[in-house]
Amino acid sequence: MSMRPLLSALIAVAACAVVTPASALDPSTADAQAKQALAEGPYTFCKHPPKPLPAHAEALCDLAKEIPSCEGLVKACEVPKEEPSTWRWGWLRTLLEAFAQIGVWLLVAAIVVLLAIPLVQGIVRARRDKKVADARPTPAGESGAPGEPLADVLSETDAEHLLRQAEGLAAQGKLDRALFVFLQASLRALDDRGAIRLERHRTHGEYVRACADAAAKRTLRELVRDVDRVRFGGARPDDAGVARARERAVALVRVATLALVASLALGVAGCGEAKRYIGGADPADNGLFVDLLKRQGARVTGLETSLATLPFPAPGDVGPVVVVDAERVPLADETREHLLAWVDRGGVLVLAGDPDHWPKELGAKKTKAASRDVRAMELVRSEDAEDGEALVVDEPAVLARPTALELPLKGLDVVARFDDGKIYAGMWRRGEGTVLGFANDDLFTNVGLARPGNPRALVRILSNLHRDAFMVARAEDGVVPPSNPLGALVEAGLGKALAHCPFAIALLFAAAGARFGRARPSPVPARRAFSEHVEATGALYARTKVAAHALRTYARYADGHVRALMPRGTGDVGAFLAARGNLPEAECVRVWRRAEASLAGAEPAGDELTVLKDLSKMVSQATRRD
Amino acid sequence: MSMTAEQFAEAFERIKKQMAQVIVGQEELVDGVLVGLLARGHVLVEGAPGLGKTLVARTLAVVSGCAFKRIQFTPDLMPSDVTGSSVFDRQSSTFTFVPGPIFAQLLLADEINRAPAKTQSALLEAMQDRQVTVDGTSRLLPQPFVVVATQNPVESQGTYPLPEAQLDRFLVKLTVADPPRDVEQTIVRNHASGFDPSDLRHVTSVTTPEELVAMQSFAQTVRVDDSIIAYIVDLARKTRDDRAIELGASPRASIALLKAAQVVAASEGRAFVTPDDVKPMVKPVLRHRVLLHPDAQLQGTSPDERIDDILRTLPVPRAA
Repeated sequence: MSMRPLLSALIAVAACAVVTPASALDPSTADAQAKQALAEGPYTFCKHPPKPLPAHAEALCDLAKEIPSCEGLVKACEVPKEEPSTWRWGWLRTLLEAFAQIGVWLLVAAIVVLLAIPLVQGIVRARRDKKVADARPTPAGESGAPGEPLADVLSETDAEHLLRQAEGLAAQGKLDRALFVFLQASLRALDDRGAIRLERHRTHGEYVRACADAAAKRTLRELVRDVDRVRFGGARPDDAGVARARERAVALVRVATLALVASLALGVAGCGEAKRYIGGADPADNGLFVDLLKRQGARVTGLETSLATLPFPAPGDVGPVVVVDAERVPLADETREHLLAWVDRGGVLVLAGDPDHWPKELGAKKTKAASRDVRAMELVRSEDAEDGEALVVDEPAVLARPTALELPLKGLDVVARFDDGKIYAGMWRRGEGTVLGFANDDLFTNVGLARPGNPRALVRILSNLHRDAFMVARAEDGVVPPSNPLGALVEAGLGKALAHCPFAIALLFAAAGARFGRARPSPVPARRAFSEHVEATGALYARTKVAAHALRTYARYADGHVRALMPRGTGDVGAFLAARGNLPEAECVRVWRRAEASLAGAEPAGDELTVLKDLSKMVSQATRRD
Repeated sequence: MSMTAEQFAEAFERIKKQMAQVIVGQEELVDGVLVGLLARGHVLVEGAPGLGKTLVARTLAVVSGCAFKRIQFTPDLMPSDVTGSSVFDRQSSTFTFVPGPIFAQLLLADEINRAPAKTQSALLEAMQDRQVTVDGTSRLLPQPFVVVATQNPVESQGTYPLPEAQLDRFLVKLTVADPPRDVEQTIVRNHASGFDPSDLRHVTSVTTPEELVAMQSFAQTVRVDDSIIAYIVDLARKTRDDRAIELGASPRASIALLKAAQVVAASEGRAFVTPDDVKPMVKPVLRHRVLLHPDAQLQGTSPDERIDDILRTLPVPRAA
């Protein structure tokens, strides 16, 4: 029987008596708690891991076989990787990709234009309506009491605001005005939902009849009836009526708001199948780590701010430990700088993951150990020990990857070591704070903690910190929060789109806006008299050498116009012109016969313009109003 | 005989329902004629032959229990043929007045534009004053009195178009369009199953002339808010400012619109007028009162289109 475990146990028992301060975590219960968490929690990574496995999870495959009842993950790990295809017609793919990209851009442009056209039309319409409203002096009956502007359903776009305004008016006892604003709020809400279209020339009844929302139609009709009774019927509004109107308006407005929220939620969540929770299915997730710490009695929370804006701890303040998995949380340069400053001011940081992703100032380097077996240690210093020598309690663990650390630091306490002596985890003081670094995050993953023995080892290592509060950083916490909305868009990958926007707007304006721009009211041109119109048209026909057509057209007009004035039974237009206009009958008959010939399709004779002129004079003379 | 808005609406609906047993698919025409009757006005109906104009008038007469007469206007129709004349009675050696067809409660003036201006004037004078003067004696016409005149828009030869001043006497001008296919099918099916438009014996009277007079009186009491009056006046004035309209609606048109709106409001069971009652009557009341500019006529613009534009540009009274 080896003496080493016995010695370790004895040392541990002795240490418990002399150690200060005591750790809140209890390694002895960690394995059982992890097992219980696996049984009770949503951890399906062993049975139903995602297929194909994410890269991070794939790196943990070596541990899968060491976990009892984890056949699903073992099977997923055995699936061979798909080799990239070597297609001979690579140039064709490139070409198709280029076409596809152009297609996508065209689609995006079309969507932008489709969205923007109604927007531009709406703006133009609103400006026109405003102009109409401004131009029209408001009658005294419509303006209400002076100095009390009433909400305008067309200019006010917030139904909730109108609702509040109406409630305020009702509270002030201005019941009639409250009624109208309740109706306006309802109309605005229905317009927002697309059930009706607000326009100044539409009546309340037209809104009711046009309401596309069958459920809202009845409520709106009743509301309109109540309001009209007061507005146009001269009835005195009472509290009960206003309460009824309020109830109906709230039903219409709030339903609209709920619908909007629901549609927004749908938009945010996506209209497809809701994503199921994958944290428990992902072998590389840290759900089990968080679960284990909680079962250990530790307080585990997320970060309230980004790592780049983590508030500095106050002197003497014992704050929570911040756990950052550098493989999961990408750290921006600014975040790294701030994190080190935070540690210098007294923060306690657990840094796991690839050392290449750590802040360079820490000087950590990645190396490779000979095996995956690690011994975790808890350093238990005696108060009597003057030379700083520590008593050690160690736990064996097995990792997925043999990644080791090189940390050329003075005062480094190694808290986990590979069998070949290389460092897996080390703890050191920096400024006023402490850093506990892990060469990789295997012990923080679901797979890592599912292996019996590993939870105990991890808790043993964390016990060195003597803390019971942890804040675990999420993937997005490593990002520096943008200082302005434009920065946010750029960081969200919409920088290009942002740059394209002005061009799209310019294009849109050139395509549609300029056309609408020309429609702005301009001084009304002097109206051309009818005779001038006829002359101008005649001149146009002459210029274009279509005199025959001109005569034919005018003759057709004159035929209809003059015959409408002729008494029944008379059919001689020429004679009628002569009689009505006091003109020589022979001349009238001659001119009209020529016009009739033209109507019948006679060949051009060169006299069309003269005939047209004469006929025009005759018709004018005959149809003149005295 | 006093009346409430609910009673008015009930009677209106009753008449319409009874008329619907005979008239298929001409709800707008029936409504317009009823509005004209109850607003103490007269109705001009324009439409091609065979669309049921005459049948509507005859059915209304039966349903309302009013005395009905029909005059077919022709170029040789004389004023005395309309108003009646004094005839020498040999036995008494005196002139006896023989009333003309105008002494009815519901007069159908078929193809009114076929008669010369003098005859038209005789009728129109009676329409305005509701009395007829023959040989220096004025005789009141019975109450209610409504003229339903028809004219054919297609044939223009041998007609005497009504001058604008005379058109103004008609409260509404209704245009009758071709019925939709399904309605036409129903009409033909009814005839196939034995319906005879000349035989209206199966139609019963559901009201009385007295009730109609009471309804007329009630309609006049329907409340009209100042903002509605302003809206009506603005509508009429807009027709005068319109560049495409040479002659706009007169103040008489505003009054006619007001009266028509009062009837519409009462028919809905309300004792007050809303903009909703005004708008549907704008075209029937104004379309024959506006004269388009020749430019607009040449462009094929119709009065209805111009009125639609005016309605679109004029905000309705809304907030108090």
